[in-house]
Amino acid sequence: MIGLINYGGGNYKSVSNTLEYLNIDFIEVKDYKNLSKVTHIILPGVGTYYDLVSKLKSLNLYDELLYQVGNKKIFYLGICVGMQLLSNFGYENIKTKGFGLIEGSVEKIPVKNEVLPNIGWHNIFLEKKNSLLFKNIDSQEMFFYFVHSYYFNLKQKENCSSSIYYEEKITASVEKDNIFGVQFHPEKSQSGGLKLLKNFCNL
Amino acid sequence: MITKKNRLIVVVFFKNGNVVQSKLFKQHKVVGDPYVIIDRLSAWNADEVIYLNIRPELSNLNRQDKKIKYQNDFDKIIEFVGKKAFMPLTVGGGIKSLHDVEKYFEMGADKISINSEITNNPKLIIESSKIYGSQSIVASIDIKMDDDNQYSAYINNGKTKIISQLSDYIKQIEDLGAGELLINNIDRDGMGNGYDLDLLKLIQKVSKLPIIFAGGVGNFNHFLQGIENNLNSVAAGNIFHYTENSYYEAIKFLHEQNCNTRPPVINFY
Repeated sequence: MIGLINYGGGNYKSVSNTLEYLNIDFIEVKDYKNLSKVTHIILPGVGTYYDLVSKLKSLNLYDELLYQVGNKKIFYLGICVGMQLLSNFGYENIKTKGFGLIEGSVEKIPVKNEVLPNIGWHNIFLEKKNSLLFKNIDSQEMFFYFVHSYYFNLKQKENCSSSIYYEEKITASVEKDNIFGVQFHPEKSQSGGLKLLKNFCNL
Repeated sequence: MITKKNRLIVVVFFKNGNVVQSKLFKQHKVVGDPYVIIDRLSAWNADEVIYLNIRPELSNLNRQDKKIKYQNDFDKIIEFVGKKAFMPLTVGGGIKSLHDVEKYFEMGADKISINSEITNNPKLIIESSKIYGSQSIVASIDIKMDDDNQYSAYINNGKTKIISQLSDYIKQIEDLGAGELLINNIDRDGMGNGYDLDLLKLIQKVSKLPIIFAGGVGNFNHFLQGIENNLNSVAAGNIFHYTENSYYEAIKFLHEQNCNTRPPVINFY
């Protein structure tokens, strides 16, 4: 069963609308009790790193989520801040400890001339050629919608599954065993995004 | 290497639950069914869509007693659109409280556009950008040139002039925490005579925020002129109602002119 986390204040509705459109069964996860029932968990995120951590903690979801993904190895898809949370630390507003499931930290995009936030469509390029998340997404669909000022600065490049350029090369998605994360919003990226969500749910 | 694409953004104006074309912020002509338009935008793979409600209490032919009903109509449309818009969706018009902001996010909006409350209730921008992040709060600024050839911002659907200088006003908006600017030009609205490029340059000089620029597009060349002037996100409303497949034709034109847009696509959902 797919679980979709609703911590309030996120883009839960956009993702749930998309899953409904795709006829994918899922349950809404609002506290730790439901977590043990799911094989796949999706964490949509908007807002700041610190906000997400504190909201998950206040719902008693943080530790259980870390346990289920880190130890029980359920499939995890983090969207936007949901991906950033996989890092060791986030530096948005205040330094905040994250899951530490994929090594690296979340820092402000170091732009000189470009504007922040980075809002818009990017043509992403794959770093992992056989990534299951991007299966059957053809080159015409490799455009995804980004809205962010912070990025995942990965310690190990092999955990990066796709990138974009925004002056510097920036992580667009991460992948490590059962753990997936996308900086962009698949639920808002039309056909490519719909395929990606389907791919994850079919893992 | 550049991976970011230019955005071609559709602004859809609503009044009394109908899709309307707007001229100089005064005349509004009903042009379409609000429930059908999202299917067309999806078929064209539109980069982004902005739904703006022109509030009945601010328009000329006003019946106060119908105002609540009209807001309900708009909410129903947004709820419907939220379920089908697998593209970025911005909602604005009549947003007065955190409750309104939350309501539209829950319906599936990605960004909320705030105009009059920038002045009437600046705390709304501060609070909503703290909760939802700056990137999801768009400051909508309607601009008009005064008799003394100075640009000024207006609120209340172009009715109330902001006294402070435009550049100060924009600085103030940045400080409040908005993450993007939606600039609309009252003098060019519905005129089809092209973007006011002087205004664009002025805004680009003053602000570091991403800019969505609208007002005046009468043919596809006008989009091109915007992009050639370093505008990442070109927007328009009326032009997309004139011809069949207009969005597709516009993005095809820009793509052929070597603009850095996504390729033109027609989907069949």
